[in-house]
Formats: sequence, structure tokens, C-alpha cells
Amino acid sequence: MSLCQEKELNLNIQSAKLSSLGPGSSAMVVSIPEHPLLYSLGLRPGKIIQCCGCQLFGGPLMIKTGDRQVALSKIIAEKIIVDII
Amino acid sequence: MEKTVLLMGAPNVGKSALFNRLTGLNVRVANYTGTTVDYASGVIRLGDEHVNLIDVPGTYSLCATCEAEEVAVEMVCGKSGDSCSRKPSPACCGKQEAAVSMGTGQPELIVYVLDAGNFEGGLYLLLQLLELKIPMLVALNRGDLALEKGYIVDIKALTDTLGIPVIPTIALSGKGVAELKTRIFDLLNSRTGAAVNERKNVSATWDNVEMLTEKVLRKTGAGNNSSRDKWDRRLTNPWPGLLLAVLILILVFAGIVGIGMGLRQFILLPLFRGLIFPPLIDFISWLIPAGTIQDIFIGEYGFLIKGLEWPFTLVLPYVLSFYFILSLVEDSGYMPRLAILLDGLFKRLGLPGTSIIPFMLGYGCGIPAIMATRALGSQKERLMVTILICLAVPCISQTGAFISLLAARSVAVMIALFVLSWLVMIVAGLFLNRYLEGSRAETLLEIPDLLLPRIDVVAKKLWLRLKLYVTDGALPMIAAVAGASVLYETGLMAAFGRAISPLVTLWLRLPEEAAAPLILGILRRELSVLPLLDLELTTLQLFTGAVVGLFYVPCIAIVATVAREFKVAFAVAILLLTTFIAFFFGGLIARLDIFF
Repeated sequence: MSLCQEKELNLNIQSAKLSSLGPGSSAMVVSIPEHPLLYSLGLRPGKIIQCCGCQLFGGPLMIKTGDRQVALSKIIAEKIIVDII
Repeated sequence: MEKTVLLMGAPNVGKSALFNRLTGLNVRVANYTGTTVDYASGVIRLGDEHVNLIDVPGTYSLCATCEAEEVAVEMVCGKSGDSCSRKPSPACCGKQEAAVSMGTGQPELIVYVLDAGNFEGGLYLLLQLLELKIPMLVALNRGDLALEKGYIVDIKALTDTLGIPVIPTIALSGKGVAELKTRIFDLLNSRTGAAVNERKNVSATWDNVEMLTEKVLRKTGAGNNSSRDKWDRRLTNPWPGLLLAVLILILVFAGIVGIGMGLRQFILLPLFRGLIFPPLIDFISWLIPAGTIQDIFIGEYGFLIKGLEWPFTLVLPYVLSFYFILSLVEDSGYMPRLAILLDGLFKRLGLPGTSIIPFMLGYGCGIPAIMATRALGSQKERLMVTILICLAVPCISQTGAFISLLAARSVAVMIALFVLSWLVMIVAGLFLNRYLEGSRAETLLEIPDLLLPRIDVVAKKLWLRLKLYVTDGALPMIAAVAGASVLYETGLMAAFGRAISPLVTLWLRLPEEAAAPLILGILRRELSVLPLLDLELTTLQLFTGAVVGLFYVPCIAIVATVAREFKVAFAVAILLLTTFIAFFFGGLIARLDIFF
């Protein structure tokens, strides 16, 4: 299932939007939009995160930061740039 | 002046559980973010000393993202601290001047609850609070969970780095609470200035959060949570999570109805009909001669009969079964998982998945449900969920009444009633989403660890519910039934029935007496249904009556809550809207017979 893959990869092969990650892949956060909760939930530049897949019906993207599990909407995920590892 | 201690921390770290342990009070605890939406205050006693403890809603930082968090920020920053609220920058309040923050009633001490099982998540707020120079001590909670995950928090390293005392606790079992209590009083009695001076200067930056984590958190091994992980994946991934969600919801519903019916049939009904009523009737017949006065007590609507039978054999069994099952669901950490599984569907109604939490609470009672909407991200979401709950979510008392009224006659009608309520909620939701101004907050939610509910915690919650039900549910119900029996026996009810009889008899096609629940229903939601039990109605009339009762005005206590949480005008609008929709659908249902 490639529900999360939105094919909008940046020109740089390594960097991508978080929303384009497939389930099971890991990445390092490069930049995040301004949001009061992102830092607190472990989505900070330099952090390694894991994509665990997407919920159905346009639901949120599930990611792991360390051993915390976070659900975030695709709209936020699109604004998060990551380096694929 | 009374000394004040604040209990603070990130969401879902066990503050309320610790508060209950420290004060002996019982505020609501559950395994999800945003359980506590308002502060609760209690007293900690040690010997003859005592101090006020305030349980503050959890927040990740001093920048609030919802009304519940604003309560927390105001507790330390004061109301005037406008620079604190709703700024998008992640470090918006980190550099706040301490002088600005010291509003009136500055706390003497902050007990900061840090979750060892989610260590990093609570550090930023801790550092922010340290900058405020208020004496502080850390309760390092849930070390057992950390150990299970393969971590250990080096308490000495944490104490040395921050220069504040750290006491390990396990709030749910009560471990470490006695020591925490002693240390709270030690700190309050010592020169508070000294405690602050020992503090190391660690500013609130994310670099420092990472430095602290690195320094203090030690890995002990692989951890022992493979079965937790396995269940987590099953319950959280769309497959088989959605299937399991359907199964769980069916189980929840069947459990509530089944356990409730069992309690009623085998315990409460025999108890009241066999043991309590016969001597009561004998006694009243002996005390009061036959006539109107005796009828008011033990007649057809005698309040000693209906007033005990309705609250204790009809409603109480479902109150117990509902809150038993709700406790299991909310303590396990399943609610947020259900919320994100349904988030995509809810989004089409303009609601976040997390609104499932107020909806579920609403099937118990609307008041905590409307309070719980404070944890939602936008005012529009709050308004929408509140309107939908007032309109079409029956409280457990009313559901108990529906089961008694309908299940014996026709289970299909019972199911049709609930399906109709969901359809109306969807249509009303789509409509409100379109015409109410405002936006839906983007989903961003931490999913807590799955936990096995503790039977002692569940039992305690149930016991509290029982006590609360007797004082806040059964007693008002008995009073309302008493008032109604006076109206009945004096003929006033019939007079009122005649006055609005065109509406009741012509439009709803119900007998005149069915006007009674329309008055009583304003007082309590289940009373819009229960009086129908004693009228001899056809199945279609039962359905009509149930539909009117379902959509009819929420009880007076809910209206008061809405007026307090929002505006009086909004509460009035809800009254008008629900009454209109109730009669509109009631009249339509009454005319369903043209199809048969």
C-alpha cells in the first residue's frame, strides 16, 4: 500500500517531505513548520524518526520518535522536510 | 495565608493519580492526553500540617494549544501573561520574565511529575518552570514502565544536573508517595530561598533537553515489551485495527447492555420488589389513610415506588455497567488509538478523531463530556461536539430508560433509534461544519503506551461513580418524581396535557398523558422517556416517544454547563434547536404507518 507516497520528492534525492515516506522507513528531521507541539513531541531537527504507515480515509501519518508514538496530519507532515536514511 | 503547591507536568504522566494519592481525593484519571481539563484542588496533610495542592492540567510547554492547557499556563503565568498564550513559536514562553509570570497567588512550590517511561517528553516544561525560580521538586513517576521498556533514569545524575530533589514514585500503586509527602513539607518548611539557590542554571532550550536525556537516561537492555508492541501494532494499524475497533465497540455495547440487564434482573429488581417495597407499602398504608396523600407516596406515580424503582432498578444497573466498561477502555490507552483510526472519517465532519472521547463520555453523562471538549483544539470543534452531544447523545440514564421501554417490545426499534441518532448527528455535523465559522485543528497527538487496567483503580472509579450517582443522579430524580406525582395526583399534569394536547395528540399522535415526560424531561433526560413505560402504547407510539425523548432538550444541568462553558445565548439556542428537532422527527416517525 502506498497511501502515504505522494511522489513529491524534492530535487535533492536525499531530502523529502515526511508525508512521502513509506511505512518502515527511517529519516532524520531537517526542518519543521512552526507549531507549538512538534518540538515537544520529539519532531525536532536532527531527530531520527520512523514512519509506521498511514491511517485510512485520509487519516494521520503514524511515526515513532525514539519510543514515542505520534499521529500527525498529512498537512503537517507535508511541511516537515526529512533526510531519508 | 494558605500555602499552595502546584502539581504540574506533561499530559498523561500520572499527575491526577498522584494527586489522588496525596490528597485522598478522587479526581478523574485515565490513560490519554487531556483527561484533566480544569484544575482540581485538595489538601495534603502530614501530622498537623496541611497545604493546598492543585492538580494542574498537563501541558508540554508554557504555550497553550487548547483551553485545558491555558488553565495550566494561567496557573503559573497569571491571566495577564498574554505573551504566553497561543503563540506558534516553540520557545515562545521560555524567555518570559519571571516578574511578569508572578501573578497573584504565586505557588509556594511546584511538584513536577516526570514520566520515567516517556522521559524526554516532560523535560522542556520542567526547564521552563525552573526558570521561574519557584521552589520545585520532581516526582519521577512510572519507573516500572521505564524498566519494562529497557530504560532506567539515573536519579542522582538528574538531581546533580538540575540541583533539585527527585523522588521516585509509582502513583497507581502508591509507591514513594509517603516519601514525596515528607519532602514536600520539608521543602516548604526550610528556607525556600535556599532551595532555589542550590539550583543549577540549565536554561530551557531543546539542546539542554537532549543533553539531560543523554546524561540521565540509561539503557539497561532490550526491554520486555514485545507483547505490548504486538498488540499496539494490531490495535493501531488500519489492518486489523479497524476490524478490531468494530469488534471492540460491539463488545463494549453488548457488555454495557448485558451486564446492566443482568444486574437489573438478578440483583436490583428482586432486591427492591422482594425486600424493600413490601414493608415500605405496609408502613405507608398504616401511616397514611387511603386517598390522594397516600397515592402521592405509593400510588401509580407514587414517588416512593417510582422514585426508588426508576433510579435504582432501571438506571443504576446501566450506570454501573457503563462506567465499568468505560474505565477499562480509558485506562488501557485504547481511546487515543480509536481516535486516530477514526480521524480520517471524523475529518469529513470537520471534527478531530479525538472528539470520540467527549462523545464516549457523553454516553455516560453530558456534563463531563462538555467539559472534556476543552481538550479539543479549536472553538468550532468545541461548539460542534457540544451541540451534537446535547442533540443526539443519550446519557446512560436515558439509555437505561430506552432499554426498558423498547428492548422488551422490539429490539429492532431500539437499534433503529440509535441508528437514527447517528444519522442525525452526521447530517447535523455536516451542516454545522459548513455554517459554523472557524477551523479544525490539524491532528497532532501522542499515543500513550497500552496499559493493562488495574482492577483496584477500576473498582475505585466504579465506587466513586456509585456515590456520585446516588447524590447527583438518584436524589434529583427522586425529587423530580415527587414533584411530578404531586402534579399528577392533583390533576395539574392532565391540565397541562390538555393545554398542549394538539401538539401531543395531533402532531405526535400520542395520548394526552404523554405530555408529562415533556415537562419532566427538562429536569432530567431519562424522565423524558420513563413515564411512557406506564402508558399503553403501540410500538410506533413507543418509537415516536423515544425519538422525541432522544432529541428533546438536554437536562437542566447540561444547559447550565453549556451556559457556563460558552454563553447563555448559546444554551438558549440549543434549547430551541433540540426542541424543534425533537418535535420535527417525532411527528415524522408518528406518520411512518403510511408505509405499512
